[in-house]
Amino acid sequence: MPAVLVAVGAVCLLLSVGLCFLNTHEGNRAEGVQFFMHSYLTNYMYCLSFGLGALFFVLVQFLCRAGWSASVRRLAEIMASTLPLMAILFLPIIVMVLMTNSVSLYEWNTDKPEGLIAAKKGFLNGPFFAVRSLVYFLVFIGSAYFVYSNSRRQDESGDAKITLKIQAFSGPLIMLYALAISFASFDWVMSIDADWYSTIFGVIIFAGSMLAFFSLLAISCMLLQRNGKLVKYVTVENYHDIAKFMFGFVMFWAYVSFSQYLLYWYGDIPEETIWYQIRINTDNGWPYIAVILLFCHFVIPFLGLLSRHVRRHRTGLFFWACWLLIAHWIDLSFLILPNAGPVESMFLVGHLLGFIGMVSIFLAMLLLKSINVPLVAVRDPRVPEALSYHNIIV
Amino acid sequence: MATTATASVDNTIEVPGRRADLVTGNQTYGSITDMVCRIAEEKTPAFWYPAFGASSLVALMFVSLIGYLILVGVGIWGNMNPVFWAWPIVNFVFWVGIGHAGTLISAILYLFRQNWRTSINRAAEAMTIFAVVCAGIFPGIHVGRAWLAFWLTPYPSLNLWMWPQFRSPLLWDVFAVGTYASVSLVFWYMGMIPDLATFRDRAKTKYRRMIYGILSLGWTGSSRHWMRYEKAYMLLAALAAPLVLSVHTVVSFDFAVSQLPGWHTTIFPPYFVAGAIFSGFAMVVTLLVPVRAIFKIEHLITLRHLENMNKIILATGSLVGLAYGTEFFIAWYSQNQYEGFAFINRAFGPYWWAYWTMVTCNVISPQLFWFKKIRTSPFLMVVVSIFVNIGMWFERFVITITSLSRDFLPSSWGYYQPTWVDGLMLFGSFGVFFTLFLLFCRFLPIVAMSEVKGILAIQNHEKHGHGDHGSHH
Repeated sequence: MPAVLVAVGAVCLLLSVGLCFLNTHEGNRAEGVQFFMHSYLTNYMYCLSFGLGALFFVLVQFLCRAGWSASVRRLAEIMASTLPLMAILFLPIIVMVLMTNSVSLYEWNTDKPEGLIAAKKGFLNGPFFAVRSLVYFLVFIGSAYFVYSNSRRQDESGDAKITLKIQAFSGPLIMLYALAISFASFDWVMSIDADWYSTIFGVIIFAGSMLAFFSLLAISCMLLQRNGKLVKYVTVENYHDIAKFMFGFVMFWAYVSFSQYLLYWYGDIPEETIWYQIRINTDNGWPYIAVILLFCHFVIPFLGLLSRHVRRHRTGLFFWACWLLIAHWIDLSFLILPNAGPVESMFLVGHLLGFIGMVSIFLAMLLLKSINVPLVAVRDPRVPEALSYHNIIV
Repeated sequence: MATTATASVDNTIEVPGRRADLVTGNQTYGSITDMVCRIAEEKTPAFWYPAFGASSLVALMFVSLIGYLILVGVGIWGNMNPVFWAWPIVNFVFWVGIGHAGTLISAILYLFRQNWRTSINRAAEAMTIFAVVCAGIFPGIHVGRAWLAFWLTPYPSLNLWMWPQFRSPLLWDVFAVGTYASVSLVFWYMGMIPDLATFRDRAKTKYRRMIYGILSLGWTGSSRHWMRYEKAYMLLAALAAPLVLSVHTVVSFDFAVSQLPGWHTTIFPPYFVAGAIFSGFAMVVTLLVPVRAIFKIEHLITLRHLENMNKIILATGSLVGLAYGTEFFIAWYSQNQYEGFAFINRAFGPYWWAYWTMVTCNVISPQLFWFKKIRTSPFLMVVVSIFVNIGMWFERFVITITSLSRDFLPSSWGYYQPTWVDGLMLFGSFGVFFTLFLLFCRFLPIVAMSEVKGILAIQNHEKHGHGDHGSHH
C-alpha cells in the first residue's frame, strides 16, 4: 500500500510539473517554474503542518500531565514521526536555493539583490537559509524522536518514570519548538515576499497547523475504528474534546489572521499593505478566495461546531474535520500562491494534482510509520483516565 | 480526622496515573466549611484594622488627587508634547492586564477541566474585578474633562447630535473593558451564591442573616437550583473565555493601529494577552501566598496550586520574551529605518534603564521557576512575582513612553519625566486595590467552598477503590 501511494504521489507530482511547464502564457517557461515552486511549497507546508501540529500537541500533553488524551496520543506521535521523511521532501527547495540563482520561489535568492532585499542579504542568503532550515528540522525531528522513542519504550516496560522523564524535557522542547516554528514560518513562507514582514506570521502558520492536526486526528480515529482498530480506546468523550480543540482553533486562526489584517489595513502603510494588495485588491480571483476563507475557514465551521450535539456526533464531526482540512489547504494556497504571479487555469489543475501527489506521499509515510506499532500507548499510566472521564454529568 | 495544622503537606510530587490530592489534611465537607467561614465569622484579626486603615488612607489620597486634577487640570501631570499618553495610560494597561488572571482561572481553566482552579478562583476573580476598577479610573481621568467622560457612551450628544468615533480603538476599549468588567462581575457573584447561602445559614446576628440572605437570592441548594446553576456557570465560562482574550487584544489595538514605530506591529494582540496573563498570575501569587498563611488555609490553597501558577508564569513569561525577540528581529528584518531606530532607541536610548528593567524582570526572572525549589518556596515565588509585576509595569512604560518621546521628527523629540502627582496616583491606585481586597477577605467567602467540596468528592472517590476513574467534571 505505501509503495502504491508513493507511486501515485510521484506520478501526480510529475504531472503537476508537466502541466505547469506546458501551459504557460505565451511560452514563458519561467512563469510555469515560478508557479510550480509556489504550488510545491503550498502542498509541502500543508503536509508538514500535520506533523508540526502533532508535535506541539504531544509535547503539551506531557507538559500539562494531560489524562484525557493518553489514548489518542500515540496517533499524534506517529504523525510527528513523519517529520524526518517530510524533511526529505524539502530537499528540492534547499537544492534550488543552494545550487541555483533561481528567484522562482524566493526573490532574495539572487546574486544581485536590489533595494531592501540587498540590505537583508546577511540573513536572506542561500547557505544561511539552508543552515537555518537544518536547525529547524533538527529541533522538530529531535523532539519528535525523543518523545516517540521513550513512549515506545514505555509500551514494553510500562515504567511510569518514562512519563516523568518526557514531561521534564517537554518544557524546554516547547520553547525550542516555538522559536523554530516562528522562524521557519518567516524563512520558508514569509520570505517569498522578501520585502514584506509581519511579526504575527509564525502564529498564523501555527494556528493553521494545529487546526489541521486536530482534524486529521479526528478522521484517523474514525477510520481506524471503522476498521476494527482502537474500538475501545477512543470514546465519544475523546471525540468531543478533539472537536472542542478544533472549534477553539477555528477561532484562534480567525483571531490571529484578523489581527494581522486589521492592523495593516488600519495603519495603511504601503510596505505592509502590499501583501494584501495582491490578495484582495486585484481582479485576478484571489479576492474571492479571501471571502471564501472568511466564511469557510471561520464563519461556517464556527457555527457548525458550535453545537455540542455536532461535536459528539460521529458523522457530524467527520464532516467538519474534512471541511477544515480543505479550508486549511485553501488558506495555505492563499498565503503562498498569489506571489506566483498570474494563475492560468491549467496551473490550477497542476496545483490540485500536486496536492494529491503530496498528500499521497504523506499518507504513505503515515502508513509506513504505523506498521507494527501499537496504535495506543497501552501502558501509559494515564490511559485509564482517558477512557473513563466524562464531559457531561449524566 | 481533618486537620487545620499549619504545616503544609507536599502534594507537588507527581505520580503518573494518580491525581495528587488538591485538598490536603484529611478534610471533610464540614471542616472545609468551617475553615472558610471562620475567616468571616471570627473576630476581626488584629492586623486587619491597621492594614485597612493604611490602604484606605492611600485610596483617599488618590481620590483627593483626582479632585486636585479636576480643579487644576492635567498640567499637574508630566504629560507633555510629544508624550501625550504617559503614566495614566501606562497605569491603565498595567491594571487591566492584572485583571486577566481571575477570569482566565475561572473560565478557561474550567473549560480545560483543571480542578486545581477551585481553591484559587474566588480570590483571583475578586482581584480581577478590583484591578479592573483601578484600570477604569485612569482613562476616565485622562480625558482631561473627566465630567464629560460619559461622552464615550454611544449616544448622539444632545446638543451636537454627534456620535463617538466608532473607528477609534479607544472607543472599542470602552466596550471591551466594560463587557469584561460586567461579565466578570456576574460570573464572580453567581459563583458565590451557594457560598453566600452557607454564610446566611450560619449567621448568628440578624443583620448578617439579612444581608447574606439578600445576597444569596433565596438559594436553597435544591437539585433544581444546582442544575440551573451548573448550566449557567458553564455558559458564562464559555462566554467569558473569549472575553479574556478580547480585552487585552483591544488594548493592544490602542497602540498597534497607529503608525508609530514600536507600536505598529502585528504580534501585539497575542503578545499583550500573554503579558496580561503573566502579570495577572504574578499578582494572584503575590496576594494568595500571604492570604493562605494568615487565614490558615494551606490545606485548600496548597503548594501544588502555587506551583501550577508559577509554571503558567514561566510559560507566559517565556512567550512574552519570544514576542520581544520577534519584534526586535522584525524591526531589523523589515529594514524600516524608523522601526529599527525605535528598538535601538528602546534598548540604548535615554530610557535604556526602563528597557533593561523590563527584560530582566519579565524574561529572566521567571526563568528561575525552572527550579522546583524556587517555584515551591512561598517566599521566593512572591519575590519573583513582585519582580514580574514591576517588569510588566515597565513594559507598558517602555512601549508608551519610548515610542512617543522619539518619533519620526528629531525636532519634535522630548524627554518625558513624571511629576510627584503621577507617582502618588500610581501609589494611590494600589490603595484602592488593597482596600477592596481587604474588604473582600473580611466579608466574603474567599475560597469557593462548594467547588472545593466537589473536588474533595472526586478525590475520596478515587481513593476508595475506584482509582481508575478520572476527573468527573
